[in-house]
Amino acid sequence: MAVIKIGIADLNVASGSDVLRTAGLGSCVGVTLYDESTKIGGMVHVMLPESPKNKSGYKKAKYADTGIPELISKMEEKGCNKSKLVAKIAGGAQMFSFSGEESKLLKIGERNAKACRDILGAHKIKILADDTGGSYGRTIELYCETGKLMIKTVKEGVQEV
Amino acid sequence: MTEQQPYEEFHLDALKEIGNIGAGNATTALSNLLSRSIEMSVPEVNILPFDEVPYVVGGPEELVVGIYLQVEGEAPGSLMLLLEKEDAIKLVSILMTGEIPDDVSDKNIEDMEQSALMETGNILASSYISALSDFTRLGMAPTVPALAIDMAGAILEVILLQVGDVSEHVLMIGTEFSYDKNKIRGHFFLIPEDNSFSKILKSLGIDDGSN
Repeated sequence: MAVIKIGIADLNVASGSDVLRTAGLGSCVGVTLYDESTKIGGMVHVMLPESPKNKSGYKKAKYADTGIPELISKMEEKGCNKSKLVAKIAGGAQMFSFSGEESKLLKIGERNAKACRDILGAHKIKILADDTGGSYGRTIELYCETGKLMIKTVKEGVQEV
Repeated sequence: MTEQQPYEEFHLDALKEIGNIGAGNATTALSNLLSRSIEMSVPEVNILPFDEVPYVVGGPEELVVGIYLQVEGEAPGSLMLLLEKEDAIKLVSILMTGEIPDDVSDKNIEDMEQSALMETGNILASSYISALSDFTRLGMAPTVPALAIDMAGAILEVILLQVGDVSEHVLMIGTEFSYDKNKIRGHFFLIPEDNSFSKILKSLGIDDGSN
């Protein structure tokens, strides 16, 4: 068994007894995809909803609209059938709240989560678990053996979905 | 900042001086507030890939208190006051009772204490920013602060968002402050926005080569 760490704006694919892990998700969203028939799992740590249209050379995993398709094609390369993929997502919190007018920057968690849902929907990938929003950080682990997602928080403890 | 425009050593020295002036003033304010002698480290200017940012305070899952606010005006950016949870409890205990309790490991930070920490953040940020503003003659003002107690990774993400769209790195001007040989330690981080660098450097009479 290996624990594979995914950093911010990063993605990876693993299988069998491996565990994919990303720590300290705030407004970022951890999107995990899983194919039960091959026990292949994938995880992307999305930071922003939408990639810049006038620029290239960025990390695809940074944005929901490029990171999720990139993860899907990486999993297809490993032998997954896209139609069998199911998703679980977590994160998209608003860590700081200000009284009065809230800046666009601080609503980013909500927008990230929505973008991820929309893109998964466009790819006809079913979302089995959606633990997004709130005002707390999350660490997530995807167990490729079972497809279970462990979500750990400071305030709400640990849950498995 | 952008990858195409790497900063020279003397640019970084100028930014360190900015940190020195801002954090120096904030440290004095903290000393006055706590009636204790607070020490400050030499500022560090770090250009960090996103993943390394949480390691400035012990990794993405370290439990910390973050007091965050934005800097508005001619050189916008953000400012974060970051303390490990136990250090925040010690700090607020001095503020409210004048002393540090023997064991703070299982204490919670209640609403009243959060307000006190936010007000502390407000005072420190105002001191930091006003010193900076005076020194550079650029108009700057802090917004009202917000506070979060959670994993360092989740809290520090907010400063990455500010630069995330244009860069893969974040430039942070960091200073550590401490009381009584590390009884309490904390950090100030100033994170100028992309366009603020050349303005700050120019205000100091340094040409950053961008024009």
